[in-house]
Amino acid sequence: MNRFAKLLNFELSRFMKLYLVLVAMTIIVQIAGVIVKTNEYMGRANQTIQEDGLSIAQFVEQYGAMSFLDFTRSLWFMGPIAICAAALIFYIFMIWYRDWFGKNTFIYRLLMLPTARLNVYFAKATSIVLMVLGLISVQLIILPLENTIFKSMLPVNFRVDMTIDRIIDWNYLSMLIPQTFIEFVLYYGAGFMAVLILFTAVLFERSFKWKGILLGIGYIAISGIVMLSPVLSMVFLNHYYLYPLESLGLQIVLGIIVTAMSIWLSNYLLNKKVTV
Amino acid sequence: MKRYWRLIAIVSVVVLTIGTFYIQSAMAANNLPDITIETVNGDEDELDSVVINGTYTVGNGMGEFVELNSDGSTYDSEQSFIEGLQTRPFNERTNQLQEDYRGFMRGKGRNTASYLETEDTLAYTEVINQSVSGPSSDMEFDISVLDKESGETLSFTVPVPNRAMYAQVLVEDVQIMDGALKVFTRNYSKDGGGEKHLYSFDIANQEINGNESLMSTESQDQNTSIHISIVSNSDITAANQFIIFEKTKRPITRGPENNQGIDSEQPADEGTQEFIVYNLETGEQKTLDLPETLSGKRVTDREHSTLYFEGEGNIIHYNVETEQVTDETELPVNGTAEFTRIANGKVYMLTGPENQNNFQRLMILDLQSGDTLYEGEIKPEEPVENGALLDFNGLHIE
Repeated sequence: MNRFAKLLNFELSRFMKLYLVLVAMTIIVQIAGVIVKTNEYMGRANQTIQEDGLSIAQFVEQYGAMSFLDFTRSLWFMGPIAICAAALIFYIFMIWYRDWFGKNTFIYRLLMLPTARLNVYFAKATSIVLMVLGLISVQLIILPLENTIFKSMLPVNFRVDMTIDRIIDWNYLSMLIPQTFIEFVLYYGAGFMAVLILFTAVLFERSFKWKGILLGIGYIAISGIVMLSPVLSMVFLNHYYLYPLESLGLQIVLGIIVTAMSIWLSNYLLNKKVTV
Repeated sequence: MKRYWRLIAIVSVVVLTIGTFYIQSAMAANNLPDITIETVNGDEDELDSVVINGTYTVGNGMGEFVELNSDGSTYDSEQSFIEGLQTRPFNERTNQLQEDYRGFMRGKGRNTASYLETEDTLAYTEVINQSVSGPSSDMEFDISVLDKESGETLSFTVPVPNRAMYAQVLVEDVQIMDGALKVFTRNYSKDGGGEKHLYSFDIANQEINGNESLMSTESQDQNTSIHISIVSNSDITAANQFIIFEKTKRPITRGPENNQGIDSEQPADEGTQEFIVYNLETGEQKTLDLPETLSGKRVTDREHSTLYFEGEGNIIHYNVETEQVTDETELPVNGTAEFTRIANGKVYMLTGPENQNNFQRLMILDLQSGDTLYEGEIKPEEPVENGALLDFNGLHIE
């Protein structure tokens, strides 16, 4: 356990600088976005009210009051999230390849550590998941802050006030932060599984080089087919026999099978096949 | 410990933030107003069978569904994940059937019109193997009949006759008459035409024994549009001797040509109605000869062989079998009904709000005497927040 914690802390440290840059970028761009978007709206409001001689109430009736969702649907809000997501997806691969292609092939030392090699694998996977959850937490922390800025920027008759819960629920944000804790566990459990599948594919490539690329892609495809098999069977049989709760159970079982298969295969590859 | 500060920092931020968020959203009320039906006068027990559906919207079209009954209101977001899974897509009738006949309902669709439930039988018919884009020549009737007493299910499939002709076949009602399963469908031809069709099946021998086109849904001349729909009971799964089709003809007014050289076609809002009744016992169809007083009146609901027309300040009862006006129910003057349902010998009316400071009202009247049995106001317990709109636009009687 101690070994694992050390490895995990080590993996986190190695990405920490870039990670903090991502966090800072998100905070700065989103907060700037609230200010820009509300100013834009107020500018348009003032202009229309003056040019067309409308009252505030008439303007709001015609053009609608601004809600926080108008901001969350803009690039100011979605852009940083997309960049962070892309960076972490890229890092799922880089977390392995940097050890091979670094200045001094670092993987040598990692794999020679007097600990199970699977610990290295789990430390890398856990650090990815932790960093994703960390970014989600940052978003949860700055949302109330942004909402407060939003309220202070607009006079009350020009805005629709919303609670944080509702901002999340009534938005694509509920894909990242689902409404119930069960869903949260299911979503991020699936995410963890996806990371393990990609790791296995990377290890295939590291073990068998060119042939390994095909094996890796094949493994991703097989995992995908297993996970989607209930949906695929519905398409081909044109009939679906399971009730929703049974489907959920089946999907969880399939997910556990794919996860276990990935761990077992990775363990095998790391111990027997991987070449440095 | 100092060496692990990054790990400790990230883990504590994650656990604290996400933990707080979920604990707080589970504990705190969701800030949506609780809504109750406040009795103005009458017997509250009348409310037991009433379900009112509505929406709560904020700003530009964001919002959620809310359901209201005698126990109060339930918003969509108040459902747990598991509850939501079981009831979505939301269909009260098929949800009920799934609960009562779990084995039979397995793998069956959610189109309520596909079901017939009588005291001793539950029947289901759907047309399977049809896809909107692909070839549809594999279309089959998928039929199941459950004998409630013995618990035995009879299932069989029958190819749709002349299926190469059709692009799509939709089941619109299912009935059983003298051991024969009668399936009313709307058939869309590949050449663009459409018709109302009746298929008949011999249940005991599991074969098709009847196939007739009832009426074309296409207009003969270019200047009218035709729309035919089935007027069903509030509960379309109930048995009925009469199937009533409402045929609406609307003249098409042609606007000036637009810039692509195509003249715009606009069916008029008002049209002429015609009711065609199919008698399952005799297999005959007749067009109702409505008295002058009913022409142009809208049908609000139907119960067995009675059609209820919306008159001026009253509801006119019309029997399709005897083709007579049988009764009238006088309505109290206050409030125009947005939604009217007739069931269990009562009239259920949901009125629209007359102005912004007013609440929607629910009224329950006796169908025979027109006496008000219940009157209530739909009231949010706390005022609806700034910019939000609460609107009830559905009324169901269980």
